Amino acid sequence: MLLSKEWLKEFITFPKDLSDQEIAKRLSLATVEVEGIKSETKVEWDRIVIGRIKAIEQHPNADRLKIAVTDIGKDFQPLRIVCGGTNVAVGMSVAVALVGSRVRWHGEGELVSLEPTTIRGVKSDGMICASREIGLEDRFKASSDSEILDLSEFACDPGTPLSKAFSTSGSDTIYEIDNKSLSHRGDLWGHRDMARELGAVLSTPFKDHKSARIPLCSKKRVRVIVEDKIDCPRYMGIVVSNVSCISQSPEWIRRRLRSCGVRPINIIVDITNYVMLEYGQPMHAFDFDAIKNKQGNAELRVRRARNGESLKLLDGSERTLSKDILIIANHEKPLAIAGVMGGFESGVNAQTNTIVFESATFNGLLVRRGAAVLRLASESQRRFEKNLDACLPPEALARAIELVLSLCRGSQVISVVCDSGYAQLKTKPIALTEELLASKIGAAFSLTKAAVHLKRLGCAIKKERHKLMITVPSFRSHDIKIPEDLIEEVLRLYGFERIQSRLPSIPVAASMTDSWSGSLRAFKRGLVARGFHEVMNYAFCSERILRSCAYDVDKCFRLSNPFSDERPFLAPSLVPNLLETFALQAKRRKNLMLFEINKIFLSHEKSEVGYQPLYCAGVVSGSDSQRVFSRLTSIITALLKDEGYPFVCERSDFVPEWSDENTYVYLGCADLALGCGVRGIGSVGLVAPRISSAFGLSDSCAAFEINITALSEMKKSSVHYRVPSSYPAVYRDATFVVNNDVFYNTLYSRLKLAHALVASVEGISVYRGDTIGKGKKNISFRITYQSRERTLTSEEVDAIHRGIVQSVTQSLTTHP
Amino acid sequence: MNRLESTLKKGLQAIAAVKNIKKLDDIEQMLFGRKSGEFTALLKSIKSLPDAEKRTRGAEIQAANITLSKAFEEKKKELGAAHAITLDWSEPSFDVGPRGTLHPITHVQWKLEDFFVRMGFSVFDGPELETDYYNFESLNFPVDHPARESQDSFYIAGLPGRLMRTHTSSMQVRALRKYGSPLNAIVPGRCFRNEATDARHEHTFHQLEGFMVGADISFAHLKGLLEATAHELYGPKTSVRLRPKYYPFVEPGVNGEVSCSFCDANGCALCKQTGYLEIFGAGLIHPNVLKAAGLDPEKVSGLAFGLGLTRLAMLLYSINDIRLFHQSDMDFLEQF
Repeated sequence: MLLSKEWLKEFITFPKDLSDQEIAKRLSLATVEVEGIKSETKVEWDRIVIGRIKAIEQHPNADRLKIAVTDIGKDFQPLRIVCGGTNVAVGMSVAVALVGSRVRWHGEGELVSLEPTTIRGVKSDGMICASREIGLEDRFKASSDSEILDLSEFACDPGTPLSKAFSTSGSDTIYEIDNKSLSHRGDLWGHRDMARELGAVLSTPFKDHKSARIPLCSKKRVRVIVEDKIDCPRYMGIVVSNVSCISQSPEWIRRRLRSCGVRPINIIVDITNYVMLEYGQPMHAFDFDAIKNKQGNAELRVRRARNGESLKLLDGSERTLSKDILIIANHEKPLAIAGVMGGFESGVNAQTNTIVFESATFNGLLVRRGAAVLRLASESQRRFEKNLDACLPPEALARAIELVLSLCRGSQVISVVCDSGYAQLKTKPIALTEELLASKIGAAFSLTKAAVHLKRLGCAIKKERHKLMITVPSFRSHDIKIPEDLIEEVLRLYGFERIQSRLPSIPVAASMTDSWSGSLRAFKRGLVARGFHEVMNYAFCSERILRSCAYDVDKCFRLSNPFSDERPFLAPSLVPNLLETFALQAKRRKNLMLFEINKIFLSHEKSEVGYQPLYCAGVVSGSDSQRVFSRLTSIITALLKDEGYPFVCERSDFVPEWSDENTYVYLGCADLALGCGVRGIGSVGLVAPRISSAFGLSDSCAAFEINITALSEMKKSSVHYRVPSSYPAVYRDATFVVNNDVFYNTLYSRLKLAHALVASVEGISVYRGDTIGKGKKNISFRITYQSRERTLTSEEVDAIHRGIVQSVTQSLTTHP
Repeated sequence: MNRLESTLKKGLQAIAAVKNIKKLDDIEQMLFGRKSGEFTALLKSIKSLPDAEKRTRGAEIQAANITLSKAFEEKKKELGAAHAITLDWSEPSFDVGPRGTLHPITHVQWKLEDFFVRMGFSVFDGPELETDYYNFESLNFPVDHPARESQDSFYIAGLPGRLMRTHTSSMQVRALRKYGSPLNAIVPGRCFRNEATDARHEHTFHQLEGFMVGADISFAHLKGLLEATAHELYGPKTSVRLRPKYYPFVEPGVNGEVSCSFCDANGCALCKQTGYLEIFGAGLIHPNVLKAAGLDPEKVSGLAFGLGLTRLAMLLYSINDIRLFHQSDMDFLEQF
């Protein structure tokens, strides 16, 4: 919204020492954000005065130029000004730009400073202006470029400053207010009310405008029917004749409208807009003759549109309406969309002679939804959707009538003011106690001081013992309802910066921090240390990606209004989007390792928001599927172990969507003592080749997912400490050549259990290669032998070791 | 001590102390140099000794000669071995592998989490798919508030009143109902708004909500807490400026701006020449919210504030396009 300082000045006097910047800052800190300040330097009328031509001499060196001897007041010598104006005449009153004034040369370009000059050998003491050189081209149309401005009709004495002749300085400051910051202040959408607010902010008195009373007329002529008071709390109409819509409004109205970004159209439309910008109350004017019935009366019915009804709007578009849209109709058809836009046929035009003024209050939600359905936006709708004060229409109507009667010669009110009526709720006074004020602010605050601020906002105040009884004006009754609302008003006007800040003292208490928080950090740090990069993908998945990963989209949550039809589903797993991301980035990076920790969304009968566990998932790739798989399982089990969760890789019947039978493992824990049960908390596996190739990945891909929420509900294992043996350990290595289908774990556990003196077994290497034959692999272990009672001899260990190797080798051939 | 003994002792001491091969050469030259070597002179003197002394004195000199030569040889071996190793201090190990990176949001989130945890706040998570009740109604949003329209929020098909949370404030009533008063908590997390995306707007973003509820929480406390947070983020010279701002769930409601640390509040492109950066939304918790949480607004009061983690990360790293956070572009991610 644009605010004109010149306009505001009609209601308040700005303190002299305040710059425009300072005013904007004070308003920003106390009320609404001022986004910009624009100085309207369209014209500057300093050193431009009224002059009267006393005599005209011919210029000696130029046929078309004259020397005008011009009187600029008793105290000055008449000036000799070289002038090319074709209409210059003795006795004419003109605008004289003195040396040092700033004018727009020939009406074009930036303002230039006028210097003493000599034209064709004759000195000129200033310039006699054309209307476009001093910003008056709208008001005074010149018939040719060489015509000077004739101000004779103003009958001003020579020497009168132009600004005084036009009772304006000609310059203005425009404040641009952020509309969003005005969203809860429907009362601030006009100059009058913003001036009241500024008065409170700057502690300067506010003087309201009192419009003349609307002339009485007993003729009915207009009838208002409001079908639903909730849709339309108040509707007022009045008929005015002889309005001559063809005429332009005066320059001061046109200038103010333009300053506020509204295009002048004709005098009636301009007046409705002027009143809207001044009072914040949008108005509308109907062409009486276009809407009246056979009896010559206008019936205005405020009702919901019927499905299928249509209306051609002022912007020329034809709209089909529905029952969600509030309209103004006459006895037969829709005339306007309430609060949004008027109809084409019923609107005023150059031929209009009699009008009906509308001044009403509509339900904000209805106006907003109607405008959204029709994809329309207007200054009027923007105000109505804030739920305007129902006390405002009569004020606005009176102001509009006052303007019409004074500006349209011969115009006349020819009907009674028709008012649908409004039962104003008596606002109950709100009690603001000294105690509440102090406890909310955090320091004692004087009630007298609070009263001063609230009074400036228009509140009626009754002082009682230790409290104020405050009656809020009707235009603030929407947003001030409780004492806390009043405290905000007091604080912002007093200045937030003047409140002494203090840190709260709080009782020491055990942290209630969610238990996953620690695991989350450990996982993130652990994965990053191992080369993984953290990504954050959207929670939204596309159908294509989900189907590629074999997820059943019918089981997924779906957005009713996705930001794009491309991604309507909520992620049932982090893996699909992660694979998509991985495929994209793997083209540019070798050895890519990505992970993500975020929520997934699964439906759950017992919870109204489903089950939303926090998951950790990751993807890696490589040319050798066994190595990629082994690397990932090693990393994941190590991470889990670091966090105190003794999970091991297991097989189970559960197959994650993105993997295949036999190419994944389940992260399970059979230790019932730890509360794990046989439940798993995730899985690690190869991404099924058909899935990875669907993403364009040629290498083997492995992925993992861990339910951190479930994990954090389990107990961590504690360390079972054993006293180290005081006798030396003896090491022996053993290598087995086995078929590929013999698992490492089989050998490992057989070795581990082979003899009581085997203290530990450690894998050294797994080798597959042509030298050992196709379909075979070579697994080496280091076995540690140790007794807790004595020192083992070399011979003894050799004998045991030989026996173990022999029996394990044998067992593999019989029970692989 | 005669000349032989002193030369021998000096020689051995010098050899023992030496740490590089060049110095050892110098010592050898000093003792055994052909013209002026101290020990060379002793060896030469044997010739001119009287016959009687040649055997005894000569033998002593020869013995010392052997001792010194041995010492030289051993030292040469010792220093030579070390000299043979050339260490490249810049060569990395390829067994270790490169480190990965954390997402920039994680860095900013942890920094703030740590700060609030040190002050005694708990850290909560909450559902991202929320009910209208916790996201709007319990937070005193009027039925006709524009945020509740589908053009601003993502709703779930087939489940009326279920939507993606539009702010982390949705945890206020959930947490207060669970834990009651007093409670000091922060809720970092992902939020969603149905917005057209461009360099400054994204439908998915991260926030950090904080709230304190207790017997006498006041506006002065809110101001103190916001100042402490600003100092943590931008240094102790940072000042906080508050402006009124409407949020349905706080009263009074404010917008918190911090003095721009990039230009010392003189005005720069980052703060759009204002000298201030908008960081917080905050206020005293509205009595209706406390009531929804089952608390008595006459007895307890609270403060609440929210920070945009995404916005903080953008400011911290001068990231000018918000969409980068969710594009998973390695060129972007690897920098953090």
